[in-house]
Amino acid sequence: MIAEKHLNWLIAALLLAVPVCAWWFGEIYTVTLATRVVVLALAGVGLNLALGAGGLVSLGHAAFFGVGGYAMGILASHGQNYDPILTEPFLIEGTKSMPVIWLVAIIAGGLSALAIGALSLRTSGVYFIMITLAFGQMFYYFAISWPAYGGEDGLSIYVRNGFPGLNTLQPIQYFALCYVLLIAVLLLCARLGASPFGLALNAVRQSAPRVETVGLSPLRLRLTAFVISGAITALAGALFADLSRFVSPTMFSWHTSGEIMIFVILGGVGRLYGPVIGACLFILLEHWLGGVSEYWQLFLGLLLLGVVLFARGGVIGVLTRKEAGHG
Amino acid sequence: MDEPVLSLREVSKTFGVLKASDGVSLDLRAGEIHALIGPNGAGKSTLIAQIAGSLRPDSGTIRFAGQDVTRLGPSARARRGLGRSFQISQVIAGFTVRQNILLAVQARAGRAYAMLRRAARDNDAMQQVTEYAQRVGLAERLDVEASDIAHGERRRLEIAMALAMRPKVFVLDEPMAGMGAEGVAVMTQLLDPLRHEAPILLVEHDMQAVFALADRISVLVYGRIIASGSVAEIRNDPEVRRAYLGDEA
Repeated sequence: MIAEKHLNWLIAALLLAVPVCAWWFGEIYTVTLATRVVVLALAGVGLNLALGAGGLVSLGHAAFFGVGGYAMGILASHGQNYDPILTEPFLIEGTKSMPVIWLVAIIAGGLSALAIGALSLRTSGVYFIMITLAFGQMFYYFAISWPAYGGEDGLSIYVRNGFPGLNTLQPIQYFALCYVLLIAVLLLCARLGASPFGLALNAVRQSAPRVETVGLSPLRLRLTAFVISGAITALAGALFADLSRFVSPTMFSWHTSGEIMIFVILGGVGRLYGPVIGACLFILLEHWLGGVSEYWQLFLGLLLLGVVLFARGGVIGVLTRKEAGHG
Repeated sequence: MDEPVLSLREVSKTFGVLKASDGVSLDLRAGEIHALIGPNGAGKSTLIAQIAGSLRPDSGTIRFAGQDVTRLGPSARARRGLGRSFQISQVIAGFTVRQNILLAVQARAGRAYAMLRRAARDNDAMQQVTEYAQRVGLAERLDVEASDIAHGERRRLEIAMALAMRPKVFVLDEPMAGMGAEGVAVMTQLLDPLRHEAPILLVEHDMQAVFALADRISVLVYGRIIASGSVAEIRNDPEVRRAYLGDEA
Protein backbone atom coordinates (compact mmCIF):
# COMPACT_ATOMS: atom_id res chain seq x y z
CA MET A 1 0.00 0.00 0.00
CA ILE A 2 1.10 3.52 -0.60
CA ALA A 3 0.19 6.86 0.94
CA GLU A 4 -1.95 8.99 -1.33
CA LYS A 5 0.54 11.85 -1.21
CA HIS A 6 3.38 9.63 -2.47
CA LEU A 7 1.15 8.10 -5.10
CA ASN A 8 0.34 11.59 -6.35
CA TRP A 9 4.01 12.45 -6.66
CA LEU A 10 4.60 9.20 -8.52
CA ILE A 11 1.80 9.88 -10.98
CA ALA A 12 3.04 13.42 -11.59
CA ALA A 13 6.61 12.18 -12.11
CA LEU A 14 5.62 9.39 -14.50
CA LEU A 15 3.39 11.71 -16.46
CA LEU A 16 6.42 13.92 -17.01
CA ALA A 17 9.05 11.21 -17.47
CA VAL A 18 7.27 9.12 -20.09
CA PRO A 19 6.82 11.82 -22.72
CA VAL A 20 10.27 13.28 -22.08
CA CYS A 21 11.82 9.86 -22.68
CA ALA A 22 9.62 9.32 -25.72
CA TRP A 23 10.74 12.64 -27.11
CA TRP A 24 14.36 11.68 -26.48
CA PHE A 25 13.86 8.55 -28.56
CA GLY A 26 11.94 10.43 -31.21
CA GLU A 27 8.53 8.90 -30.41
CA ILE A 28 6.60 12.05 -31.17
CA TYR A 29 3.25 10.27 -31.25
CA THR A 30 3.64 9.28 -27.61
CA VAL A 31 4.31 12.90 -26.70
CA THR A 32 1.07 13.93 -28.37
CA LEU A 33 -0.76 11.13 -26.62
CA ALA A 34 0.62 12.30 -23.26
CA THR A 35 -0.45 15.86 -24.03
CA ARG A 36 -3.92 14.53 -24.68
CA VAL A 37 -3.88 12.79 -21.30
CA VAL A 38 -2.76 15.97 -19.55
CA VAL A 39 -5.40 18.13 -21.19
CA LEU A 40 -8.23 15.67 -20.59
CA ALA A 41 -7.04 15.19 -17.01
CA LEU A 42 -7.34 18.95 -16.54
CA ALA A 43 -10.95 18.80 -17.74
CA GLY A 44 -11.53 16.03 -15.21
CA VAL A 45 -9.88 18.05 -12.44
CA GLY A 46 -12.44 20.74 -13.18
CA LEU A 47 -15.35 18.31 -12.94
CA ASN A 48 -13.85 16.69 -9.84
CA LEU A 49 -14.17 19.96 -7.97
CA ALA A 50 -17.92 19.96 -8.54
CA LEU A 51 -18.45 16.20 -8.36
CA GLY A 52 -15.94 15.18 -5.72
CA ALA A 53 -15.80 18.11 -3.36
CA GLY A 54 -19.26 19.48 -3.97
CA GLY A 55 -21.15 16.27 -4.67
CA LEU A 56 -22.64 17.82 -7.81
CA VAL A 57 -23.15 15.17 -10.47
CA SER A 58 -22.92 17.34 -13.56
CA LEU A 59 -23.47 15.62 -16.88
CA GLY A 60 -23.05 18.90 -18.70
CA HIS A 61 -19.39 19.70 -18.33
CA ALA A 62 -18.95 19.36 -22.06
CA ALA A 63 -20.62 22.78 -22.19
CA PHE A 64 -17.62 24.33 -20.47
CA PHE A 65 -15.12 22.20 -22.37
CA GLY A 66 -16.72 23.37 -25.60
CA VAL A 67 -16.92 26.99 -24.49
CA GLY A 68 -13.18 26.88 -23.89
CA GLY A 69 -12.64 25.25 -27.26
CA TYR A 70 -14.75 27.78 -29.09
CA ALA A 71 -13.13 30.66 -27.20
CA MET A 72 -9.89 29.48 -28.75
CA GLY A 73 -11.46 28.75 -32.14
CA ILE A 74 -13.19 32.09 -32.48
CA LEU A 75 -10.29 34.20 -31.28
CA ALA A 76 -7.72 32.30 -33.34
CA SER A 77 -9.78 32.14 -36.54
CA HIS A 78 -10.22 35.91 -36.44
CA GLY A 79 -6.58 36.24 -35.48
CA GLN A 80 -5.29 34.20 -38.40
CA ASN A 81 -7.50 36.05 -40.89
CA TYR A 82 -6.73 39.50 -39.46
CA ASP A 83 -10.46 40.01 -39.31
CA PRO A 84 -11.73 41.80 -36.17
CA ILE A 85 -14.48 40.07 -34.19
CA LEU A 86 -16.28 43.33 -33.56
CA THR A 87 -15.83 46.81 -34.97
CA GLU A 88 -18.91 48.48 -33.50
CA PRO A 89 -19.28 49.92 -30.87
CA PHE A 90 -15.64 49.20 -30.13
CA LEU A 91 -12.93 47.19 -31.77
CA ILE A 92 -12.30 43.62 -30.62
CA GLU A 93 -9.63 41.81 -32.56
CA GLY A 94 -8.84 38.11 -32.71
CA THR A 95 -5.62 36.83 -31.23
CA LYS A 96 -3.14 34.02 -31.60
CA SER A 97 -1.73 34.50 -28.13
CA MET A 98 -2.34 31.59 -25.77
CA PRO A 99 -2.36 33.55 -22.49
CA VAL A 100 -5.09 35.84 -23.82
CA ILE A 101 -7.07 32.89 -25.18
CA TRP A 102 -6.77 31.06 -21.86
CA LEU A 103 -7.98 34.09 -19.97
CA VAL A 104 -10.97 34.47 -22.27
CA ALA A 105 -11.72 30.74 -22.02
CA ILE A 106 -11.57 30.84 -18.22
CA ILE A 107 -13.86 33.86 -18.01
CA ALA A 108 -16.31 32.51 -20.60
CA GLY A 109 -16.35 29.10 -18.88
CA GLY A 110 -16.90 30.71 -15.49
CA LEU A 111 -19.74 32.87 -16.76
CA SER A 112 -21.43 29.91 -18.48
CA ALA A 113 -21.13 27.94 -15.25
CA LEU A 114 -22.59 30.87 -13.34
CA ALA A 115 -25.64 30.96 -15.62
CA ILE A 116 -26.12 27.19 -15.81
CA GLY A 117 -25.40 26.74 -12.10
CA ALA A 118 -27.75 29.50 -11.00
CA LEU A 119 -30.58 27.74 -12.80
CA SER A 120 -29.74 24.11 -12.17
CA LEU A 121 -28.37 24.13 -8.61
CA ARG A 122 -31.88 24.71 -7.30
CA THR A 123 -32.53 21.10 -8.17
CA SER A 124 -30.68 18.05 -6.92
CA GLY A 125 -30.19 14.38 -7.63
CA VAL A 126 -31.50 13.06 -10.92
CA TYR A 127 -33.02 16.43 -11.81
CA PHE A 128 -29.65 18.11 -11.52
CA ILE A 129 -28.09 15.47 -13.78
CA MET A 130 -30.86 15.93 -16.34
CA ILE A 131 -30.82 19.71 -16.31
CA THR A 132 -27.04 19.93 -16.73
CA LEU A 133 -27.30 17.39 -19.54
CA ALA A 134 -29.98 19.52 -21.18
CA PHE A 135 -27.84 22.64 -20.98
CA GLY A 136 -24.93 20.77 -22.52
CA GLN A 137 -27.12 19.69 -25.42
CA MET A 138 -28.38 23.25 -25.86
CA PHE A 139 -24.80 24.43 -26.34
CA TYR A 140 -24.20 21.52 -28.73
CA TYR A 141 -27.10 22.38 -31.00
CA PHE A 142 -26.28 26.03 -30.81
CA ALA A 143 -22.75 25.33 -32.08
CA ILE A 144 -24.10 23.14 -34.88
CA SER A 145 -26.43 25.85 -36.08
CA TRP A 146 -23.90 28.67 -36.01
CA PRO A 147 -22.59 28.84 -39.61
CA ALA A 148 -20.27 31.78 -38.93
CA TYR A 149 -18.01 29.43 -37.00
CA GLY A 150 -18.20 26.34 -39.11
CA GLY A 151 -21.52 24.92 -37.93
CA GLU A 152 -21.41 21.15 -37.97
CA ASP A 153 -18.00 21.08 -39.67
CA GLY A 154 -16.23 23.01 -36.94
CA LEU A 155 -13.30 25.33 -37.30
CA SER A 156 -9.74 24.58 -38.32
CA ILE A 157 -6.85 26.63 -37.05
CA TYR A 158 -3.82 26.31 -39.32
CA VAL A 159 -1.04 27.15 -36.93
CA ARG A 160 -1.01 26.45 -33.21
CA ASN A 161 -1.34 29.57 -31.11
CA GLY A 162 1.76 31.12 -29.66
CA PHE A 163 3.16 31.44 -26.17
CA PRO A 164 5.87 34.04 -25.48
CA GLY A 165 9.31 32.43 -25.58
CA LEU A 166 8.14 28.98 -26.69
CA ASN A 167 7.75 27.23 -29.98
CA THR A 168 4.39 25.63 -29.32
CA LEU A 169 4.49 23.68 -32.56
CA GLN A 170 7.18 21.52 -31.00
CA PRO A 171 5.14 18.73 -29.39
CA ILE A 172 7.36 18.50 -26.32
CA GLN A 173 7.14 22.24 -25.70
CA TYR A 174 3.38 22.23 -25.96
CA PHE A 175 3.30 19.22 -23.67
CA ALA A 176 5.43 21.07 -21.11
CA LEU A 177 3.11 24.03 -21.23
CA CYS A 178 0.02 21.89 -20.64
CA TYR A 179 1.79 19.89 -17.94
CA VAL A 180 2.76 23.01 -16.02
CA LEU A 181 -0.83 24.25 -16.21
CA LEU A 182 -2.18 20.93 -14.96
CA ILE A 183 0.21 20.85 -12.02
CA ALA A 184 -0.54 24.49 -11.20
CA VAL A 185 -4.28 23.81 -11.18
CA LEU A 186 -3.77 20.68 -9.07
CA LEU A 187 -1.78 22.69 -6.52
CA LEU A 188 -4.52 25.29 -6.52
CA CYS A 189 -7.15 22.60 -5.96
CA ALA A 190 -5.14 21.08 -3.12
CA ARG A 191 -4.94 24.51 -1.55
CA LEU A 192 -8.63 25.04 -2.08
CA GLY A 193 -9.42 21.72 -0.45
CA ALA A 194 -7.53 22.70 2.69
CA SER A 195 -9.00 26.19 2.85
CA PRO A 196 -12.03 27.38 4.83
CA PHE A 197 -13.96 27.33 1.55
CA GLY A 198 -12.95 23.71 1.00
CA LEU A 199 -14.13 22.87 4.50
CA ALA A 200 -17.48 24.56 3.95
CA LEU A 201 -17.96 22.91 0.55
CA ASN A 202 -17.16 19.53 2.01
CA ALA A 203 -19.68 20.21 4.76
CA VAL A 204 -22.39 21.13 2.26
CA ARG A 205 -21.94 17.81 0.51
CA GLN A 206 -22.50 16.00 3.79
CA SER A 207 -25.24 18.05 5.42
CA ALA A 208 -26.74 21.15 3.86
CA PRO A 209 -29.06 21.89 6.83
CA ARG A 210 -26.09 22.00 9.18
CA VAL A 211 -24.31 24.46 6.94
CA GLU A 212 -27.37 26.70 6.85
CA THR A 213 -27.40 26.68 10.63
CA VAL A 214 -23.97 28.25 10.81
CA GLY A 215 -25.21 31.00 8.51
CA LEU A 216 -23.85 29.87 5.15
CA SER A 217 -25.92 29.47 2.02
CA PRO A 218 -25.47 26.02 0.46
CA LEU A 219 -26.59 27.37 -2.90
CA ARG A 220 -23.92 30.08 -2.92
CA LEU A 221 -21.19 27.68 -1.86
CA ARG A 222 -22.18 25.18 -4.55
CA LEU A 223 -22.47 27.87 -7.18
CA THR A 224 -18.99 29.18 -6.36
CA ALA A 225 -17.54 25.70 -6.68
CA PHE A 226 -19.46 25.13 -9.92
CA VAL A 227 -18.08 28.35 -11.43
CA ILE A 228 -14.47 27.46 -10.57
CA SER A 229 -15.11 23.96 -11.88
CA GLY A 230 -16.50 25.27 -15.16
CA ALA A 231 -13.62 27.70 -15.57
CA ILE A 232 -11.02 24.93 -15.18
CA THR A 233 -12.80 22.66 -17.64
CA ALA A 234 -13.04 25.56 -20.11
CA LEU A 235 -9.27 26.10 -19.84
CA ALA A 236 -8.83 22.42 -20.67
CA GLY A 237 -11.15 22.91 -23.65
CA ALA A 238 -8.97 25.71 -25.01
CA LEU A 239 -5.85 23.54 -24.64
CA PHE A 240 -7.59 20.58 -26.25
CA ALA A 241 -8.60 22.69 -29.23
CA ASP A 242 -5.05 23.95 -29.59
CA LEU A 243 -3.71 20.40 -29.45
CA SER A 244 -5.71 19.28 -32.46
CA ARG A 245 -5.93 22.80 -33.96
CA PHE A 246 -9.54 22.05 -34.56
CA VAL A 247 -12.82 22.87 -32.83
CA SER A 248 -16.10 21.17 -33.52
CA PRO A 249 -19.51 20.80 -31.89
CA THR A 250 -18.41 17.31 -30.72
CA MET A 251 -16.65 19.05 -27.87
CA PHE A 252 -20.11 20.02 -26.60
CA SER A 253 -21.70 16.58 -26.98
CA TRP A 254 -23.01 14.62 -24.01
CA HIS A 255 -20.53 11.96 -25.03
CA THR A 256 -17.75 14.35 -24.00
CA SER A 257 -19.47 15.03 -20.67
CA GLY A 258 -19.65 11.29 -20.10
CA GLU A 259 -15.97 10.80 -20.89
CA ILE A 260 -14.91 13.53 -18.48
CA MET A 261 -17.03 11.88 -15.82
CA ILE A 262 -15.47 8.50 -16.59
CA PHE A 263 -11.99 9.95 -15.92
CA VAL A 264 -13.12 11.06 -12.51
CA ILE A 265 -14.91 7.84 -11.59
CA LEU A 266 -12.12 5.56 -12.87
CA GLY A 267 -9.48 7.43 -10.94
CA GLY A 268 -11.48 8.05 -7.81
CA VAL A 269 -14.14 10.65 -7.10
CA GLY A 270 -12.88 13.41 -4.84
CA ARG A 271 -9.24 12.32 -5.12
CA LEU A 272 -6.95 15.11 -6.16
CA TYR A 273 -5.13 12.97 -8.75
CA GLY A 274 -8.15 10.79 -9.55
CA PRO A 275 -8.92 12.45 -12.90
CA VAL A 276 -5.23 12.31 -13.86
CA ILE A 277 -4.94 8.57 -13.46
CA GLY A 278 -8.44 8.17 -14.90
CA ALA A 279 -7.51 10.05 -18.07
CA CYS A 280 -4.27 8.04 -18.35
CA LEU A 281 -6.17 4.77 -18.18
CA PHE A 282 -8.81 5.95 -20.61
CA ILE A 283 -6.31 7.08 -23.24
CA LEU A 284 -4.16 3.96 -22.83
CA LEU A 285 -7.19 1.71 -23.20
CA GLU A 286 -8.37 3.68 -26.19
CA HIS A 287 -4.91 3.41 -27.71
CA TRP A 288 -4.19 -0.27 -27.02
CA LEU A 289 -7.61 -1.84 -27.18
CA GLY A 290 -8.65 0.53 -29.94
CA GLY A 291 -5.90 -1.08 -32.05
CA VAL A 292 -7.16 -4.57 -31.24
CA SER A 293 -10.86 -4.10 -31.61
CA GLU A 294 -13.29 -1.52 -32.84
CA TYR A 295 -15.41 -2.32 -29.83
CA TRP A 296 -12.82 -1.33 -27.25
CA GLN A 297 -15.42 0.64 -25.34
CA LEU A 298 -16.99 -2.66 -24.36
CA PHE A 299 -13.89 -3.31 -22.26
CA LEU A 300 -13.96 0.22 -20.94
CA GLY A 301 -17.55 -0.42 -19.89
CA LEU A 302 -16.59 -3.61 -18.08
CA LEU A 303 -13.75 -1.83 -16.30
CA LEU A 304 -16.05 0.98 -15.27
CA LEU A 305 -18.59 -1.53 -14.01
CA GLY A 306 -15.88 -3.20 -11.97
CA VAL A 307 -14.79 0.10 -10.44
CA VAL A 308 -18.32 1.14 -9.56
CA LEU A 309 -19.21 -2.25 -8.08
CA PHE A 310 -16.01 -3.23 -6.32
CA ALA A 311 -13.77 -0.19 -5.95
CA ARG A 312 -15.77 2.88 -5.10
CA GLY A 313 -12.62 4.85 -4.40
CA GLY A 314 -11.46 4.26 -7.99
CA VAL A 315 -7.91 3.32 -8.89
CA ILE A 316 -6.48 5.67 -6.27
CA GLY A 317 -8.79 4.13 -3.71
CA VAL A 318 -7.52 0.64 -4.57
CA LEU A 319 -3.87 1.67 -4.45
CA THR A 320 -4.20 3.52 -1.14
CA ARG A 321 -6.82 1.18 0.35
CA LYS A 322 -9.04 4.03 1.36
CA GLU A 323 -12.70 3.94 0.44
CA ALA A 324 -14.02 7.45 0.38
CA GLY A 325 -12.25 10.47 -0.97
CA HIS A 326 -12.61 14.01 0.19
CA GLY A 327 -12.17 16.98 -2.03
CA MET B 1 -39.83 45.83 29.62
CA ASP B 2 -37.47 45.67 26.63
CA GLU B 3 -38.63 44.28 23.35
CA PRO B 4 -38.30 40.47 23.43
CA VAL B 5 -35.32 39.12 21.47
CA LEU B 6 -37.59 36.71 19.64
CA SER B 7 -41.30 37.08 19.30
CA LEU B 8 -43.95 35.16 17.40
CA ARG B 9 -47.35 36.67 16.71
CA GLU B 10 -50.30 34.58 15.59
CA VAL B 11 -48.11 32.17 13.66
CA SER B 12 -50.16 29.57 11.79
CA LYS B 13 -49.22 26.70 9.54
CA THR B 14 -51.57 24.16 8.06
CA PHE B 15 -50.74 20.89 6.32
CA GLY B 16 -53.89 19.80 4.54
CA VAL B 17 -56.49 19.63 7.29
CA LEU B 18 -53.90 19.47 10.07
CA LYS B 19 -53.32 22.73 11.91
CA ALA B 20 -49.72 22.22 12.95
CA SER B 21 -49.44 25.77 14.30
CA ASP B 22 -52.66 27.49 15.22
CA GLY B 23 -52.15 31.17 16.04
CA VAL B 24 -49.06 30.72 18.17
CA SER B 25 -47.76 33.79 20.01
CA LEU B 26 -44.59 33.40 22.00
CA ASP B 27 -41.87 35.66 23.43
CA LEU B 28 -38.30 34.99 24.37
CA ARG B 29 -36.81 37.68 26.60
CA ALA B 30 -33.22 38.47 27.39
CA GLY B 31 -31.66 36.26 30.05
CA GLU B 32 -34.35 33.59 30.21
CA ILE B 33 -34.80 29.98 29.37
CA HIS B 34 -38.23 29.54 27.90
CA ALA B 35 -39.23 25.91 27.63
CA LEU B 36 -41.71 24.71 25.05
CA ILE B 37 -43.31 21.43 26.02
CA GLY B 38 -46.15 19.39 24.66
CA PRO B 39 -47.09 15.82 23.71
CA ASN B 40 -45.83 14.17 20.55
CA GLY B 41 -47.47 15.59 17.49
CA ALA B 42 -48.28 18.87 19.21
CA GLY B 43 -46.44 20.78 16.49
CA LYS B 44 -43.23 21.60 18.34
CA SER B 45 -40.95 20.62 15.47
CA THR B 46 -43.08 22.52 12.98
CA LEU B 47 -42.86 25.59 15.17
CA ILE B 48 -39.09 25.27 15.51
CA ALA B 49 -38.77 24.91 11.75
CA GLN B 50 -40.70 28.17 11.31
CA ILE B 51 -38.57 29.95 13.89
CA ALA B 52 -35.36 28.71 12.27
CA GLY B 53 -36.65 29.62 8.82
CA SER B 54 -36.72 26.24 7.09
CA LEU B 55 -40.53 26.43 6.97
CA ARG B 56 -42.55 29.54 6.15
CA PRO B 57 -45.70 30.22 8.19
CA ASP B 58 -49.01 30.61 6.33
CA SER B 59 -49.74 33.68 8.39
CA GLY B 60 -48.41 35.60 11.36
CA THR B 61 -45.08 37.28 11.95
CA ILE B 62 -41.78 36.34 13.51
CA ARG B 63 -39.63 39.16 14.85
CA PHE B 64 -36.04 38.57 15.82
CA ALA B 65 -33.53 41.09 17.19
CA GLY B 66 -35.80 43.99 16.31
CA GLN B 67 -36.48 42.90 12.73
CA ASP B 68 -39.27 41.10 10.94
CA VAL B 69 -37.61 37.89 9.76
CA THR B 70 -40.75 36.05 8.66
CA ARG B 71 -39.60 35.90 5.06
CA LEU B 72 -35.93 35.13 5.65
CA GLY B 73 -34.38 31.72 5.05
CA PRO B 74 -32.44 29.69 7.62
CA SER B 75 -28.95 30.88 6.72
CA ALA B 76 -30.00 34.55 6.80
CA ARG B 77 -31.53 34.04 10.25
CA ALA B 78 -28.43 32.24 11.45
CA ARG B 79 -26.32 35.19 10.30
CA ARG B 80 -28.55 37.50 12.32
CA GLY B 81 -27.75 35.47 15.41
CA LEU B 82 -30.08 32.51 15.62
CA GLY B 83 -28.15 29.51 16.90
CA ARG B 84 -29.96 26.21 16.82
CA SER B 85 -29.56 22.54 17.47
CA PHE B 86 -31.56 19.78 15.86
CA GLN B 87 -33.78 17.10 17.27
CA ILE B 88 -31.71 14.55 15.40
CA SER B 89 -28.06 15.60 15.67
CA GLN B 90 -26.91 17.36 12.54
CA VAL B 91 -23.18 17.44 12.80
CA ILE B 92 -20.90 16.74 9.84
CA ALA B 93 -20.28 13.04 10.40
CA GLY B 94 -17.15 12.81 8.26
CA PHE B 95 -15.49 15.74 10.03
CA THR B 96 -13.56 15.65 13.25
CA VAL B 97 -14.93 17.51 16.25
CA ARG B 98 -12.35 20.20 15.51
CA GLN B 99 -13.45 20.61 11.89
CA ASN B 100 -17.09 20.83 12.92
CA ILE B 101 -16.47 23.67 15.34
CA LEU B 102 -14.01 25.29 12.93
CA LEU B 103 -16.74 25.38 10.28
CA ALA B 104 -18.91 27.44 12.60
CA VAL B 105 -16.07 29.69 13.77
CA GLN B 106 -14.96 30.48 10.22
CA ALA B 107 -18.49 31.03 9.00
CA ARG B 108 -19.12 33.44 11.86
CA ALA B 109 -15.84 35.26 11.11
CA GLY B 110 -16.96 35.69 7.49
CA ARG B 111 -14.03 33.65 6.21
CA ALA B 112 -15.95 30.78 4.68
CA TYR B 113 -15.05 31.92 1.16
CA ALA B 114 -11.33 32.26 1.80
CA MET B 115 -9.80 29.91 -0.76
CA LEU B 116 -6.07 30.30 -0.55
CA ARG B 117 -5.36 30.33 3.15
CA ARG B 118 -5.16 27.08 5.03
CA ALA B 119 -8.08 26.49 7.34
CA ALA B 120 -5.91 24.61 9.83
CA ARG B 121 -3.35 27.41 10.04
CA ASP B 122 -5.82 30.02 11.21
CA ASN B 123 -4.45 30.30 14.75
CA ASP B 124 -7.07 32.69 15.99
CA ALA B 125 -9.86 30.40 14.80
CA MET B 126 -8.11 27.32 16.19
CA GLN B 127 -7.84 28.95 19.58
CA GLN B 128 -11.56 29.68 19.55
CA VAL B 129 -12.27 26.09 18.56
CA THR B 130 -10.36 24.86 21.59
CA GLU B 131 -12.22 27.29 23.83
CA TYR B 132 -15.66 26.18 22.67
CA ALA B 133 -14.66 22.54 22.88
CA GLN B 134 -13.53 23.08 26.46
CA ARG B 135 -16.78 24.73 27.38
CA VAL B 136 -18.78 21.70 26.33
CA GLY B 137 -16.24 19.21 27.66
CA LEU B 138 -14.95 17.97 24.31
CA ALA B 139 -11.38 19.29 24.52
CA GLU B 140 -10.02 15.74 24.67
CA ARG B 141 -12.03 14.65 21.66
CA LEU B 142 -11.02 17.29 19.13
CA ASP B 143 -9.40 14.90 16.68
CA VAL B 144 -12.05 12.19 16.77
CA GLU B 145 -14.47 11.97 13.86
CA ALA B 146 -17.96 13.08 14.73
CA SER B 147 -19.34 9.72 13.59
CA ASP B 148 -17.21 8.02 16.24
CA ILE B 149 -18.17 10.05 19.30
CA ALA B 150 -20.92 9.09 21.73
CA HIS B 151 -24.47 10.32 21.29
CA GLY B 152 -24.25 12.69 24.24
CA GLU B 153 -21.00 14.10 22.95
CA ARG B 154 -22.55 14.74 19.57
CA ARG B 155 -25.30 16.72 21.32
CA ARG B 156 -22.69 18.79 23.09
CA LEU B 157 -20.81 19.28 19.84
CA GLU B 158 -23.97 20.83 18.44
CA ILE B 159 -24.08 23.19 21.41
CA ALA B 160 -20.42 24.09 20.80
CA MET B 161 -21.21 24.88 17.17
CA ALA B 162 -24.13 27.05 18.25
CA LEU B 163 -21.86 28.79 20.78
CA ALA B 164 -19.27 29.45 18.11
CA MET B 165 -21.89 31.49 16.28
CA ARG B 166 -22.06 33.84 19.27
CA PRO B 167 -25.82 33.89 18.76
CA LYS B 168 -28.42 36.28 20.12
CA VAL B 169 -30.74 33.37 20.89
CA PHE B 170 -30.38 29.62 21.18
CA VAL B 171 -33.15 27.47 19.79
CA LEU B 172 -32.53 23.97 21.07
CA ASP B 173 -34.70 21.13 19.84
CA GLU B 174 -34.65 18.33 22.42
CA PRO B 175 -30.97 18.57 23.33
CA MET B 176 -31.40 15.78 25.87
CA ALA B 177 -33.28 13.33 23.65
CA GLY B 178 -31.97 9.81 23.93
CA MET B 179 -29.66 10.57 26.84
CA GLY B 180 -29.29 8.70 30.11
CA ALA B 181 -29.71 10.37 33.49
CA GLU B 182 -26.05 11.27 33.64
CA GLY B 183 -26.06 12.83 30.20
CA VAL B 184 -29.13 14.86 31.11
CA ALA B 185 -27.37 16.13 34.24
CA VAL B 186 -24.29 17.16 32.26
CA MET B 187 -26.39 18.92 29.64
CA THR B 188 -28.48 20.67 32.30
CA GLN B 189 -25.32 22.01 33.89
CA LEU B 190 -24.06 23.14 30.53
CA LEU B 191 -27.25 24.96 29.54
CA ASP B 192 -27.95 26.60 32.89
CA PRO B 193 -25.41 29.46 32.65
CA LEU B 194 -25.91 29.88 28.88
CA ARG B 195 -29.06 31.95 29.39
CA HIS B 196 -26.90 34.88 30.50
CA GLU B 197 -25.11 34.78 27.17
CA ALA B 198 -28.25 34.52 25.09
CA PRO B 199 -31.79 33.48 25.96
CA ILE B 200 -32.76 29.91 25.17
CA LEU B 201 -35.91 28.55 23.62
CA LEU B 202 -35.81 24.99 24.80
CA VAL B 203 -37.95 22.21 23.40
CA GLU B 204 -37.59 19.26 25.71
CA HIS B 205 -39.38 16.11 26.81
CA ASP B 206 -37.40 15.52 29.96
CA MET B 207 -39.64 17.20 32.55
CA GLN B 208 -37.10 17.13 35.32
CA ALA B 209 -34.64 19.01 33.18
CA VAL B 210 -37.32 21.46 32.10
CA PHE B 211 -38.42 22.16 35.65
CA ALA B 212 -34.79 22.58 36.72
CA LEU B 213 -33.88 24.98 33.92
CA ALA B 214 -36.89 26.93 32.75
CA ASP B 215 -37.81 30.44 33.81
CA ARG B 216 -41.02 30.15 31.89
CA ILE B 217 -42.86 27.29 30.24
CA SER B 218 -45.31 27.30 27.37
CA VAL B 219 -47.41 24.25 26.68
CA LEU B 220 -48.25 23.41 23.08
CA VAL B 221 -51.14 21.05 22.35
CA TYR B 222 -52.59 20.51 18.87
CA GLY B 223 -50.70 23.52 17.55
CA ARG B 224 -52.06 25.91 20.21
CA ILE B 225 -50.40 27.30 23.29
CA ILE B 226 -52.80 26.24 26.03
CA ALA B 227 -50.82 27.70 28.91
CA SER B 228 -47.80 29.84 29.54
CA GLY B 229 -46.26 30.79 32.86
CA SER B 230 -43.70 30.08 35.54
CA VAL B 231 -42.73 26.55 36.48
CA ALA B 232 -45.04 26.58 39.50
CA GLU B 233 -47.97 27.94 37.52
CA ILE B 234 -47.62 25.30 34.84
CA ARG B 235 -47.20 22.47 37.32
CA ASN B 236 -50.43 23.44 39.01
CA ASP B 237 -52.45 24.29 35.93
CA PRO B 238 -55.30 21.76 35.82
CA GLU B 239 -55.67 21.95 32.05
CA VAL B 240 -51.99 21.23 31.51
CA ARG B 241 -52.08 18.31 33.93
CA ARG B 242 -54.99 16.84 32.05
CA ALA B 243 -53.63 17.41 28.57
CA TYR B 244 -50.06 16.55 29.10
CA LEU B 245 -48.37 16.10 32.43
CA GLY B 246 -50.73 13.50 33.81
CA ASP B 247 -49.77 12.50 37.32
CA GLU B 248 -46.08 12.68 36.55
CA ALA B 249 -45.72 16.12 38.08
